[in-house]
Amino acid sequence: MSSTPTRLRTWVFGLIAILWIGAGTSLAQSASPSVMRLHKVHLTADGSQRQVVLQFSQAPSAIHAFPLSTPTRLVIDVIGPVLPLPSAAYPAKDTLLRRVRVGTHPQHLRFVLDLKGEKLPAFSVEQQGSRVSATLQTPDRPVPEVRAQILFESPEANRFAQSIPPAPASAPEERPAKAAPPAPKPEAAPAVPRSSVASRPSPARVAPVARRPGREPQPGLFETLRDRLDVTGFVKNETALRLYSPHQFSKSQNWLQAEIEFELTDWAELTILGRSMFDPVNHLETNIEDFHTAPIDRLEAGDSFQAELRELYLDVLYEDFDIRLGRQQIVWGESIGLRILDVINPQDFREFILNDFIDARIPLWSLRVDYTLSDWTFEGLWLPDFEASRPADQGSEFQFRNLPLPALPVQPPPPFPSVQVGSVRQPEDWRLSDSEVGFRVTRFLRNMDLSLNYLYAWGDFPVPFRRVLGPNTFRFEPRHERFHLLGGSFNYAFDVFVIRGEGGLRLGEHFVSGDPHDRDGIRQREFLSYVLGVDWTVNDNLMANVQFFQNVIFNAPGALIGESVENAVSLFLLSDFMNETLHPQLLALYGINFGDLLIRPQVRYDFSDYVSATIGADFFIGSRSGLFGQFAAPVRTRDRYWTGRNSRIFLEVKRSFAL
Amino acid sequence: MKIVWMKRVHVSFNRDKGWIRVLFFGLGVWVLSAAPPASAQEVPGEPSGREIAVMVDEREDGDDQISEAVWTLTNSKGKTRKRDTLRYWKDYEGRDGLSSKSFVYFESPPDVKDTTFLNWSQEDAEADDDQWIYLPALRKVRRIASGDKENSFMGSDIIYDDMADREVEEDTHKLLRVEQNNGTKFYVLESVPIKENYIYSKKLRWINAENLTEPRIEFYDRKGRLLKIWTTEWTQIDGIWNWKRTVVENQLTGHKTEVEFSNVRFNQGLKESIFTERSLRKGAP
Repeated sequence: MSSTPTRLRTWVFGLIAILWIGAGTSLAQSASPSVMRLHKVHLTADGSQRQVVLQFSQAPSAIHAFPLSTPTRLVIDVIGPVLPLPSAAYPAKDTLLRRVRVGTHPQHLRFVLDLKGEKLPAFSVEQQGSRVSATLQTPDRPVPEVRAQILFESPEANRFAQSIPPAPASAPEERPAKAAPPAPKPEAAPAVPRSSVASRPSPARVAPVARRPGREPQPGLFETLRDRLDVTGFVKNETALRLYSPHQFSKSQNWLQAEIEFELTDWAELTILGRSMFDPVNHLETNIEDFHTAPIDRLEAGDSFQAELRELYLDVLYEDFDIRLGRQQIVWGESIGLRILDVINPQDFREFILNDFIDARIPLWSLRVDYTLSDWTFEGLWLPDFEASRPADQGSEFQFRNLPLPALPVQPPPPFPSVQVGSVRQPEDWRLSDSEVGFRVTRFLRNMDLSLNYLYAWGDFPVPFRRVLGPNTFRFEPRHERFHLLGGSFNYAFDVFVIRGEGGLRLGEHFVSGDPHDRDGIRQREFLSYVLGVDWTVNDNLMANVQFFQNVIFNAPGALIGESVENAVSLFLLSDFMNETLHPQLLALYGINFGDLLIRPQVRYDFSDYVSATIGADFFIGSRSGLFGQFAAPVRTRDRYWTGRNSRIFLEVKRSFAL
Repeated sequence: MKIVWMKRVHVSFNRDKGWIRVLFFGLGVWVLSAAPPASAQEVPGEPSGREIAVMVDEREDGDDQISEAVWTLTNSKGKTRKRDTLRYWKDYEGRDGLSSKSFVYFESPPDVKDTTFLNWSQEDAEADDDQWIYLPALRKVRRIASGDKENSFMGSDIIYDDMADREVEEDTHKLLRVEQNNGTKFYVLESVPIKENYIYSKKLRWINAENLTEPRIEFYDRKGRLLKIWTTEWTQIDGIWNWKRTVVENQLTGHKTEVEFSNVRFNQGLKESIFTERSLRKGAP
């Protein structure tokens, strides 16, 4: 971990370099003189003849023209190194030509000449250097005389004006009085990238005349940047109030989260996700002393404010390969609210399991490669970065109370042994031998999604090894240990049900021994976790999910601390009402072994597509020995009774945005 | 048209292999061959309802399609919700037992952005479609059940059954009348489902006699009440008629769905890899 800042910088600089190169490449394409740019669209008239001239910055490599009917159109594909253009339409004031539309394809620009009348006139299309002209001839009907018009002219066109021959018609040119309005995109328009799809041509972008010749930015530069950039995010406040003494705010977190997606090329995209939090009520780094003092006492910016680069990754899509490189979350598994195969990223437990997994997972610097072959998808993971799961601070509201420690072979007297605790040893970041790796194979077969998973990773919690230093003198030496995870998942859909399951067998998992004479207080066992569940789409407004979850420690001789078989069930109800604006939901998790329960009802109301409010509660019920019950019953801590009663109500107000 | 119909019967015959089917098939052939022309029973001088339905069914819809759409959902109080989508669709024409595959990417609003939806529509009308959804909030692809065809698509007034390819043989079709509107001739067709207790008791369809588009459809519920009216503006793109704007109004709830289509492209040679779980996680191709 000591080298993390250096490595982090390396990654960040590497990604920035890639961004720079990618952006530079794409922007260079915009500005490069070797790119074929449209300078002018020009209509001339001569009796019954019309000529549409397309003037480019350089000669196209080829042209291809064909007519279409109903409505009558002439399509001209101009092939060459294309500068992407926003789809646009340039209306003409003519009795024959309605308008000229343009759209960008990967290798060509497509011009569509929308014609008036049902019958296609005789036409010819020819190229002379950088000029493409389409001639339309209607000898069978009289066509009123019209004036020549410039339908489109780029700022740079002035520099090339000399190359455009004079109009064959004697009529003077007429420029449209104002910018052309936004217009439908041409049919057969290009498969534009995702980020550019939402952008609509604005009047300025399809303006037929240059407003400030010579002072405009490079055509397409800003548009290209804007089209390739996608910024979304939200601000929200999450406030929770304890139901039991002390009746104080559990939190009042103010979030700002922004996600930036930047499309470098057609095959590469960079994603940056940042998050900042401000909590004036409670320390983000909670501890018991702070919690016991008055609620509003944390004005220190250092304790109340956090900013975090959550994710930063580069996606590269190359034929059948998908590569994601950077700080990211990797999610496996099928279950709801439980993590069996979803153990690649460590987890933040400062709020136990109450915050969403997407917020609780700790992203890691990693490489993920997917390869698709026929019906199979192969996925490989490499995680050179290590971070441990983050438990709640000692003495804080959600401190784990049931973490076991090895029994001590205490020999009286003296009655109190001397115990030392060493610092946690953990794997070294970026050392190849300490890397984590994973593989997954997935396939859809006979109406089932199937996956096989393998992960060779470090435990997210340190194992408290015990050393006996002398009579009644002990030392705990916690360290992270490796495990192999073999697993799989499936789902099967029929009628209104989906049966799903996932399981994982951990080989050589470490468990704390209750035997005081055990050598180091730790034993290795095989450990199976699995969940089986069913989704039931009850009706249009209600979906239910029921799951059964079990942990099994094989060959547990009774010496291990804790249950060798643990069972739990869960119920999840999700519904929508009132034009999908009201979303009640309920999650209940019940630990069968100790009869403890976590119930989480909540209702979200969407005031608009961008503003929502959620009110809900988290109830902890049952025995303090259980996973959930540990936060239910009062626990004596530093002469105060409160820490176990963590049930709370909460309110969340969220405002999303998109730039 | 008849060849297509016979082919479907033949498929059904092969599937069931029962002697009762053989008997009914023979009876069917006999009845059809002995029956007078259907047009004689409906509107003289016009094709029969079934013939019109077959023509509509066979209207060219391209091999694949890309389209953008803005969905506006309005409840009875006038409150609206909007969804911007990008949709890819590919015709499978029975290959691998599939009718078509579609992939929908949600572009906005932000709370649904990057959600993707994949549907594999089965050729067998009785079979359930295969559907998956990628939820960015979970970072997971989830299989979803599609057995209830009455479920709404995206909270709209369009249900999954409306989006499925309905076979001509699943309804009886009757040409009620011919109407003229602004110089355009329309067939008014009544399509009544053969299967009992189907979602709709009948549909009234206005079909443009010239281009076989359907600008208006009325849906009647199981109790025979007018449930919803579906009106559509059509546009022709690359010789293929396609929706330009469609409005579905629920007459019982007052809820309304408007879908505005843009940037529609046909026959783009869409790869099969677009319609996979992998694409769901990647987002729009």
